[in-house]
Amino acid sequence: MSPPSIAKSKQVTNDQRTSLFRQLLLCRRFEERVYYLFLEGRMPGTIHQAQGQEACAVGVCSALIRGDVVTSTHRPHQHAVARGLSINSLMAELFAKTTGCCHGKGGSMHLGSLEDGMLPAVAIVGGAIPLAAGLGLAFKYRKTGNIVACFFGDGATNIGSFHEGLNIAAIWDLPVVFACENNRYGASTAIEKVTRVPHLSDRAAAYGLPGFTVDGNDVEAVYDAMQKATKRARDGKGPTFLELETYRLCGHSRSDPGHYRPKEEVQYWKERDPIVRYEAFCVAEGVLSAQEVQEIKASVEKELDDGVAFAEASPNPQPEDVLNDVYA
Amino acid sequence: MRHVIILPDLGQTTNEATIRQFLKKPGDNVSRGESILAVSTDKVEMEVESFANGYLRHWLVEEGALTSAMSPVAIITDTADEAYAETGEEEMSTPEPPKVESAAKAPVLSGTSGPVTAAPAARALAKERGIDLSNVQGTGPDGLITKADVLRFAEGSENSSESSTSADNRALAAMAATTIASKRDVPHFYATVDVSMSRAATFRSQWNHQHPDLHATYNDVLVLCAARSLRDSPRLNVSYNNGNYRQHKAADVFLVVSREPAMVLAPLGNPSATPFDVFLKDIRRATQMSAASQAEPLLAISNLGMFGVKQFSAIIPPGCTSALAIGTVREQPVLQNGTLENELVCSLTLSADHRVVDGVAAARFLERIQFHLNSPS
Repeated sequence: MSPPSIAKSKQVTNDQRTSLFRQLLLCRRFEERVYYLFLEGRMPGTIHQAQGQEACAVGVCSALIRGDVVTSTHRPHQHAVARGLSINSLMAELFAKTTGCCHGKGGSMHLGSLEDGMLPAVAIVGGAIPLAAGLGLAFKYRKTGNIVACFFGDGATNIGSFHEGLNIAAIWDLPVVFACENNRYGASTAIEKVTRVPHLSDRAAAYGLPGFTVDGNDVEAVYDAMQKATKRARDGKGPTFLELETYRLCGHSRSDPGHYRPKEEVQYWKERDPIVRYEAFCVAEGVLSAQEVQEIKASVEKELDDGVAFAEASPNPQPEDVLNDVYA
Repeated sequence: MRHVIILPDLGQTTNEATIRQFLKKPGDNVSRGESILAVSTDKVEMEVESFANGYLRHWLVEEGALTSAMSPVAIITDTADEAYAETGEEEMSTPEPPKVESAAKAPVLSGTSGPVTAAPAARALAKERGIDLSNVQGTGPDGLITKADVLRFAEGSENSSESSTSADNRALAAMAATTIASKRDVPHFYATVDVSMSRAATFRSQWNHQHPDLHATYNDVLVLCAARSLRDSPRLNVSYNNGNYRQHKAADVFLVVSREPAMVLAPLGNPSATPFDVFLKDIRRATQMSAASQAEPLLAISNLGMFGVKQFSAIIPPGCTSALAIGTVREQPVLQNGTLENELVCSLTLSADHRVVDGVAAARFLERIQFHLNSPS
C-alpha cells in the first residue's frame, strides 16, 4: 500500500519546495550524523532523536519570520536545525565546545539561541509551555507583531503546565501556536493508554481554542496549518492548538531499542517517512530532477562534514569560563 | 582499514552492559547501521549497531561478559581478507607489558596491571601524539584510559625535562588518578576497633631481648596478625572485577610504604605461613622494594602510628578489596571489673569494598586480629 500523497499547498512556490526538501534532509542527516558520532564514541552524553518527525519541525519553522521565537523540548535537534541555527554552532554545542550555541554548556537537551529565534530548549516534559505563554505576553505587550511556536510532545498534554499554559494563553489572546508533535509514545507509553480522547486536538475546546489534527509527516500540510495559526496569532485573535500526527522511527533515547512497538506499526510509519514522501512528490511534480536531488544530498553532507570539522577543531571551555553566562 | 566497534555509552544509570548474543559471526558482511550484537543493562535490552561498512573479523568480548561502556567489542575491516590486528588497540599487533619508568618498580598505588583499556578518542589522541598508552594512568571505569588522561599525560611530558620535579609530578598525578578512581568506583565502608596490645607488647619485648640483631616493631606484629586474620577470613580475600568474583587462597598483603612524593605498595607474599624470624626478614626486604613478588594482595596495610596519629581511614587501592589503617599504640585507662587499669591499645580501621564484603565479615576479620594479638608466636 502506498502512502498518501502530499497535500499540495497553494501557498508554497517551487523555490520554497526546494528549500523545504533541503531542510527536511538536513534535519534527518544531522540526526543520523550525531548518532554515528555517538556510536564511534566521539560524541559524549546521551541523545534524544526524532528521525521521522522532520516535517513537523520544518513545516512549523518555515512559517515563522524574524523575531518569532520557538520553544523546544528534550528532543530539540530538528527544531534548532529547522529554525536556522547554524550547523557549526549546533554541532559544536553537542561536542561541548565554546563555539556552540550555548558556549558548550547546554548540550543536546538545551540547544537554542534567542538571537536566532529559539529559546534554549527546556528538557522537562511540558516545561516550556508556560514560558511560551510568557514570551507571547511580552510580544503582545510590546506590540512587536511576533509570535511564539511552542513545541511539545503528546506526553506533555497530560502535564499540569499544559493546562495552565494553554488556559492563560487563551484568556489573554496571546500570540502563541501550540505545536504538539504527537509521535504516539511518551517515552515507552502509548498515548491511548493514558488519554481517552481520540485526538489530542479535542482538548483545545476545553480552553476555547481552535484545535486541528494535521498529517505531521506532510511538510506542506503542516506549513498550511501553521500559516493559518500564525495569521490568527499575529492578528491578535489568540492561540491555536495544532496536533501534528507523526512517528519517531528511533527509540526514545540511545538506551531505548523501542521494543514496545509492534513491528507492523513501525513498518506502517516507515512507509510514511516524511522525507521519502516529499522527495517522491518533488520529483513527480517536476520541482526537482533526480540530478538536483543528488546535488542537494551532497551539499547537505558537505555542510555536516564542515560542522563536525568545525566542532572538533573548536576549543574546549576553560575552568575560568564556568561562571560566565550564569545569572544567579 | 580496521574499525574498532565500541560498546556505546548506554546512558540512564549504568556504565556497563552484559553481552547477550552475537548477531553476526566473523566473516559476515555488515553495513553501517546494522545491529551486530545484543546487550542488556540493568534496565534495558538493546542492540549495538556498526558505524562502519565492512566485514566482521573478530570479537573482542565473549557472550555473557559484563563490559564497560566505551570498551572495544569487535573489529571490522573494509575488505573481507585484509590483515588486521586482533586487539582493541590502534596499530598494535601484540600488547606490550606495561613499562615502569624508574628503578623503583613498585606500582604507585596503582594495583593491577592488565591489558591496556582505553576509549577510542583516547587511542586516537595517543596515536596522533605518539604516546604509548601503557604509560598512561586511566581514571575511567575499571581503569579505562580517557581522552583527558592522555591530555594530562601529554601535558606532563611536555613540561618535563627529566627533572625530578616532573617525575614527582607524575607520581603525584598517578596518586591523584588512582585515589579519585577508587573513591568514585568503590563503595567504601569503614569499621574501627580498639585492640589490646598488652600481650603483643610482652611478646615483642621478649623477642627483642632475645634477638638483638632482628628487632620487631609493633607494626611487624600487627601486620603479621592482620595477615593471619586474613588467612582465617576467606570472605575478605575475594577480588571483584566487572561483576566477576575470584577467591584468592594465599593471604598476601600490600604494605603502604612512603616514598616521597607519593606512597607505593610493597607486596608481601603470604606472611602468615612463615616463622617470625623469616617474616621479619621478608618484611624488611619487601619495604625496600628489592624482592620480586608473585603476590596478588587484596589487603593493603597502612600505618601512621609512628606519627602519633590515633586513628584514620585509608582509601582502598585499585584492585584491592580492603585496607587496614593502623593508629598509634597508646596507653589508655580502661575500666576492668570496676577498677581502673592502664591498658596498651591501638585503633584499627578497616576500609572495605561493599561489593565484596559486608559489615559482619569486616567485624569478624577485626575480631580475629585481636585473637592473634593475644597469642603471638
